[in-house]
Amino acid sequence: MALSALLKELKNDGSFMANVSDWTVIPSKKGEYVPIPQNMDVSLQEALKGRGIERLYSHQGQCWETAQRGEDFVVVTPTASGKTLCYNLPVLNTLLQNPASRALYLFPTKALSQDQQASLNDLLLEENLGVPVYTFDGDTPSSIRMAARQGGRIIITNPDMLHSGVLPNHTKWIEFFRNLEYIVLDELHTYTGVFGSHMANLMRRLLRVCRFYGSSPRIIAASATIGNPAELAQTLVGRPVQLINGNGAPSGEKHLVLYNPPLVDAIQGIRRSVVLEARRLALRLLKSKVKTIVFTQSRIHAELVSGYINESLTNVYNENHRIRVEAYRGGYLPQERRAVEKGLRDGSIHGVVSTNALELGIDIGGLDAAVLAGIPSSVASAWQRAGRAGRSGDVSLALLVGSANPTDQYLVRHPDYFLSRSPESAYLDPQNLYILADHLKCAAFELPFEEGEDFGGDPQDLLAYLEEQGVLRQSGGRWYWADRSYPSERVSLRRGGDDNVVIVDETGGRNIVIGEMDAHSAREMLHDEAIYLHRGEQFQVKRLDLANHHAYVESSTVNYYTDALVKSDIKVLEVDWSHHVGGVQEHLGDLLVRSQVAKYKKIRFGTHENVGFGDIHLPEEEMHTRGAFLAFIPQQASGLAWAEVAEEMKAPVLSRVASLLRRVAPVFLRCQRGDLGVLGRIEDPHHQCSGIYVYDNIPGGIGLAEGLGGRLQELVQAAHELLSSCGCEKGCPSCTGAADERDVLAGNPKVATAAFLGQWLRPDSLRQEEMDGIHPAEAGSI
Amino acid sequence: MSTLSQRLKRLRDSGKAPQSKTRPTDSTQQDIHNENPSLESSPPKGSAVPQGTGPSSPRVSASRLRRFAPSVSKEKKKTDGQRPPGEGWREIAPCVWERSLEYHHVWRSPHSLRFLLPSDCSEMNLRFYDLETTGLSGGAGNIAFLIGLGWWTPQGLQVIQLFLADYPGEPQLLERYQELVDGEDAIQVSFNGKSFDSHVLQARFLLNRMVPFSRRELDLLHPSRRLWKEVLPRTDLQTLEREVLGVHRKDDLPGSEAPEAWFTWLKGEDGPLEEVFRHNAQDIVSLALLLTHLQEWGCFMPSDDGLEPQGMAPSSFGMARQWQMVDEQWMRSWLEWGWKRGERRCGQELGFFLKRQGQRQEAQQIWKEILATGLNFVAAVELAKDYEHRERNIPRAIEALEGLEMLPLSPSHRQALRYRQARLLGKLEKE
Repeated sequence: MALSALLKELKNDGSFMANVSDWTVIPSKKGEYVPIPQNMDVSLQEALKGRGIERLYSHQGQCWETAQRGEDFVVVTPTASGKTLCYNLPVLNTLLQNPASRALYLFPTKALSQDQQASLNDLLLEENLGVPVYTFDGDTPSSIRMAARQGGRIIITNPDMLHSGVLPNHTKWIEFFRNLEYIVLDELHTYTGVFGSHMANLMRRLLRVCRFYGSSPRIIAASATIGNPAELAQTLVGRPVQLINGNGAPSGEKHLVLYNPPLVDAIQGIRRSVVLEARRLALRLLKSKVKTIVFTQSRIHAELVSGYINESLTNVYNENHRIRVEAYRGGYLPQERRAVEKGLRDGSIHGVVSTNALELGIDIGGLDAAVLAGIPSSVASAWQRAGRAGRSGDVSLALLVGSANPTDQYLVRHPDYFLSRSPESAYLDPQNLYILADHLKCAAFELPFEEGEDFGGDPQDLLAYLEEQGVLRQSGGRWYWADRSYPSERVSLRRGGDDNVVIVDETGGRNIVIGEMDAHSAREMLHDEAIYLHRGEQFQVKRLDLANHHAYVESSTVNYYTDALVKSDIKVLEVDWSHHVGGVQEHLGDLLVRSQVAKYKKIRFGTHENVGFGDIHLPEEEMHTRGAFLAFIPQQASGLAWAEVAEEMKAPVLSRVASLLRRVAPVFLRCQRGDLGVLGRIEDPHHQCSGIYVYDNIPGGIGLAEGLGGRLQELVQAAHELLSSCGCEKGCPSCTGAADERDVLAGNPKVATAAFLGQWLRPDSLRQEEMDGIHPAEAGSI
Repeated sequence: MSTLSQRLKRLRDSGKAPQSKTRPTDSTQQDIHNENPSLESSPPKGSAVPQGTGPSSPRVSASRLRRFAPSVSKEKKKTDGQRPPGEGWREIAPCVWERSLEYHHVWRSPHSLRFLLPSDCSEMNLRFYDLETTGLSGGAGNIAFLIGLGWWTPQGLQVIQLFLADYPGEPQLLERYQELVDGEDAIQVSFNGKSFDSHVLQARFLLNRMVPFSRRELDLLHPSRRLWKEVLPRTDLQTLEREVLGVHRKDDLPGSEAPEAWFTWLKGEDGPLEEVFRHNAQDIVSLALLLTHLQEWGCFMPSDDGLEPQGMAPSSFGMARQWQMVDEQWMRSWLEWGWKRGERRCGQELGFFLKRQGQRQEAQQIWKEILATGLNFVAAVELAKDYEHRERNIPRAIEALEGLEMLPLSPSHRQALRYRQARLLGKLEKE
């Protein structure tokens, strides 16, 4: 076969092998099978046979058994291991045997719901099993909504719709909730951090409404490989969940190659660009008839790489080697995305260049090779992307191409580190007071609270608090919603709104919508005069109208693309309180985090040289949030330690302490890394000293930074331990972040950082805290 | 959850703590619940004053608390189902009050209901109703705190108002409502009830574990919209009252302020609850007046010498649409009347009606009359069809379509036109 031959060729290719830092072969694995269970409904058995399935993988069989025992479970499955049957079989079986029963499928995004409906219909309609499946989301026309509510046996939706559309109107779903037998939560690993905390509360509300209607649905969850799937599932649904974690699917021999682009300027340490290198490698694969997916780290790169590949293929095309390569990313119209997915499944598309949009569970069939143009910082993502290559039993290749970014450079040079790193764990906090209070309001709107009723604990105090605030009323032993508003409307489960900018192509008066993009990205990619690349076509933005959510573009043929430069800064609006804690002076208050795209670079296609700048006139993007400044003042342990750091090492040490906090704080504050902003300041203009900002990266704040002070000492301790116990020499992605090979430092930054933290934590320095009467452990419960 | 209660204790303490700092508490504070939480109070620049608070400093500042909930209420007196303001109320169950109002000057119409309802419906079974609710956007947390009901009696219009003085009385309120709208034959008459009030009631019954009943419903919004949407800028009840019924309300409380009035009263404070009662009763009276007015129009045969009912006259087209399902002869009369007065849509509709009836010749006449007033896509195409299929006169059919491409047409119309023209030309060549 094509790939095996190519692999042999590559191994003998000296110029290729010179850049390979590691070539690991993961041997093939035979599938483990069990027969189709005899207790399965006959029509379902027939449907399986109709699709050529004569037996199940062992983990699918395990899921079946667990479901038959009536237990909740979470199944952990890598890509292409028959995940959907793990939940579809038990669910459909119940639905076939009990004609009244219903099931709810929750997917984190709309795109995934549609994919799922397609695959369910595939299994159902062909066999005419008569189980109506409806997708119910923001795109569902109102004419279909009624039919879905009344006749839908399986409803596929997303958390946002459940939150603001279904639960507040549960009386319209009476038949559905009364007969709900199963709740399926797919892509469970996405429910972490603040989003996960919302999700856990949403599940409380969902199960509460089910209780009202007398149903007690079972829960089936599916997750990609993460550090703590069972714990995550349990926290999300608030009860014990069985873990099923063995994969019975066969896998072919897998070649994992770490590749570092060659140096073009050894003195300055400049390497060939990851975009150009990815194109070269992908071309080599495609021309050898290897079906390939390229993952890029940004949308612009996805367009660039696919454009370059198609350009290079033009000659091949003329020689009738017809190779079709498409780009795929967020921002395309749904039907465009569907078309690419379908083309990949049926083999009419040979290569795809994608952002992380194809990392999630969208079904695109199997590909032979995955080229990662840049290595994702999350291990789980890296493996998920690599896992896209590999059809059952066949040889596959995952080629990880390092970019110039220090983390990538570290990873390609330390293959052992990369291969042995275990996937990240997911954290969330269902008891986050802000989130809990928001969902209690929504829950009270849905059904009055009885005295003594449970909501992930006893909510009486919080209910009383909400009554004081005038939104609830206690009367006759119940708490009633007593406000005219519709609470879920004001509670967003996700960061940032969903105000998308619609992209309109005005070329020759066409006025056609070609895509859409979230407002945040639009500022960077659709500002006036930006070159916008869309499925290999080039457009210039004529006008970005943020107020009306439109960007008007026209077809263009310039020889450059644009890259916006983002500046951000923090302004202190107000300090509510300050105190000594953990060896710093902590100032907690309201912050304004501003980011502005003020300039863009013009970069020539092909050579990637910078050919000019332009100005962007957009208002600053502002986020009003809560945050803490941890000031290293001279009277405190941190300040004393800071004074001992050599002047020229201050900047590198500070940025490393910030990286460490970014890494450990989510564990203590039970959130995701992206939920927090961490920024070191050598000389903060407001507080006039060195220190670190830690803020909630959520508009309005969500109580994360507020909980920081109480746990600061533990946190710094953990950072110090992490650093000291790390086996690396000068810092690596697991601790302070890797050093940039282009930087020249006066000393070893890891040693200097460890010394600073060690000094900060010295017992005699910290004794001061206890005299101030704030005991870290006691203060730590928020 | 002990940690939660500790945290809450801190929260609450902090809520009571005097705010020592200069936070810009502007006027947006009291209606902050109408704002996106993230937008709340952005202080002017330079207000940042680092300030330590005492050692018992709360972990969540008072300013944060506003995010949790909108308005901060003061110590409130619980009403415990106290007597509502106004005359005539009696408590029929704990927290449920009822009063009866009689309107002897509002009389039912002697005219038939057939314009609006099937012939088996009796006037005595009509139940006018209107709810005042705690929210305006629906959902399970939206409850009806006032139900106004009305029906005809030999003396005129009888109105009953049912008032919920506190949440626990809801089951009894609903029971009483069900009692008053008894009988399989009852017909609920509302304005916009099909999309709102009936759904609220349905949800309330379900939430109280009571069997929701379904009655026939006549929603006057729909016939009213049909009749007057072309002649009035809006067809809400207030506009109809003013322009059609000649009713002018004095000092009326907008319905949108009703929820606040109830919540205020519930907290034991003075509020405009009495105005809500008045507003609701007036709504019922207006419903009754609107129905009788529609009945009058329903018996009016258009003619030059007839005496039209008072108030803004409906469009002939609207009248025809309303008659369409009931009586085609009446519909035809209105279309003819409208066309005679130059309503082109009536002409078109009349043409199609005649065509359906097989009166092709008469239909052709109408198409020609329409075209005499100017270029018209529908009439020209119909005429071309008639020439092509009935008279088998292809050249005339082609001629009928001439000049149509100059009109601003929708893409699908334009395509259909090109297709028809090409087909006719092809047919002509064959001949």
